[in-house]
Amino acid sequence: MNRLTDSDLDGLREVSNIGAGNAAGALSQVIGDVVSLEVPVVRALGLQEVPAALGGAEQRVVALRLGIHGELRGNLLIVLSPPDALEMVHRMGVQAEELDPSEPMLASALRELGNILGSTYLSAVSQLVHRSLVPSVPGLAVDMAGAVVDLLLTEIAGASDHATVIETSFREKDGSIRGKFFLLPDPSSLPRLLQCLRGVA
Amino acid sequence: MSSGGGVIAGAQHLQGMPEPLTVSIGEFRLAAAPQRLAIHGLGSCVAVLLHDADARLSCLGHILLPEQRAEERHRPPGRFASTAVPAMLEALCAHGARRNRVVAKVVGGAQMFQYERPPDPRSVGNRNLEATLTALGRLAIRVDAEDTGGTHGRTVLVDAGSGRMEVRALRVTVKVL
Repeated sequence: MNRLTDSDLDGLREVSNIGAGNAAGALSQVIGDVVSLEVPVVRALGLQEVPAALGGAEQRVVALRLGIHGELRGNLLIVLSPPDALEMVHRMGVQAEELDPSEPMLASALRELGNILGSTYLSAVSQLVHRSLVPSVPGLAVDMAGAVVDLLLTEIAGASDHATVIETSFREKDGSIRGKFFLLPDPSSLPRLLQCLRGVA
Repeated sequence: MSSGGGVIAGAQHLQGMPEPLTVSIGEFRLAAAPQRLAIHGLGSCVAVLLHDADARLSCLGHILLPEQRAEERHRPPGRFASTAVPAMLEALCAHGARRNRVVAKVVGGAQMFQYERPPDPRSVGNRNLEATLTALGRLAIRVDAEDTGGTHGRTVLVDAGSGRMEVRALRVTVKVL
């Protein structure tokens, strides 16, 4: 399952456009400004290449992770820079001086953000492919990108040497906030997802 | 040794201080003085160092998962604690280390994501640590030092000749084991 055909890539980009598009709509309401998306990037990466895709193994990031259960499985990761995460939390009405994840109000606001964006993304994909994608409660990490993503790779490494990474960047139209969605389907779910997408096309 | 996901380093780059060689996820590397080895951004994974002080040889592994299951047999041994530790010891001994002199240091196995519920004692990080210590115990390798668990990521830098290991975290002071 390492080779993705052109039509597979188109299908996975469509997943990203629909999922991230709906999540961007929800985010617009949270931050009070239009959020636009960049063209999605779909790649099959060697496991050791994944940290670089998140900005480098030692890059400090804010990550919200939702496990995906149901008929299709995998992980959705929302990655923000610490200043952008802090700005988002401010727009949600939470006053915080610094990005300290042990601060309950801040952590709770970020998890809520993960809930809103993650569940919007996944329910849109679920409707597209007519399969259930049930999000887990969001987990929060503020740390090195490599350290954050290795848990997701543990879920892949037994079954595959590659991670299929569906990446979409978003940015605020009139402000500074940016971030990225990373959808990593489980290797065991990828063939079924691609099959569903062929049905859609 | 390439079959083990392991790579030999060292010896040939003697002029100046060589750049540390990165040990990527699921692999292990053998190195001699004056080479250095590094793992950048370790979370729930475990870094295990096997070192023979007399031979001035080190092997650093970047372990992802606890046990190799039957259907995972064709995956590289460096990915799993149960297969990485024996393969690392074999690689060291094939290059002049003696089993009875080899000692270990174990780092990592954090639980990176925080939830509203309490931490999970069966987290991947904890299971990785348990399996690593079990694999070391099975081969009667003494664990000299540990910096494990918690909820933060780590970067590890090893001086192959001395076995000195530097562990760094974001916003945490530098530790030397």
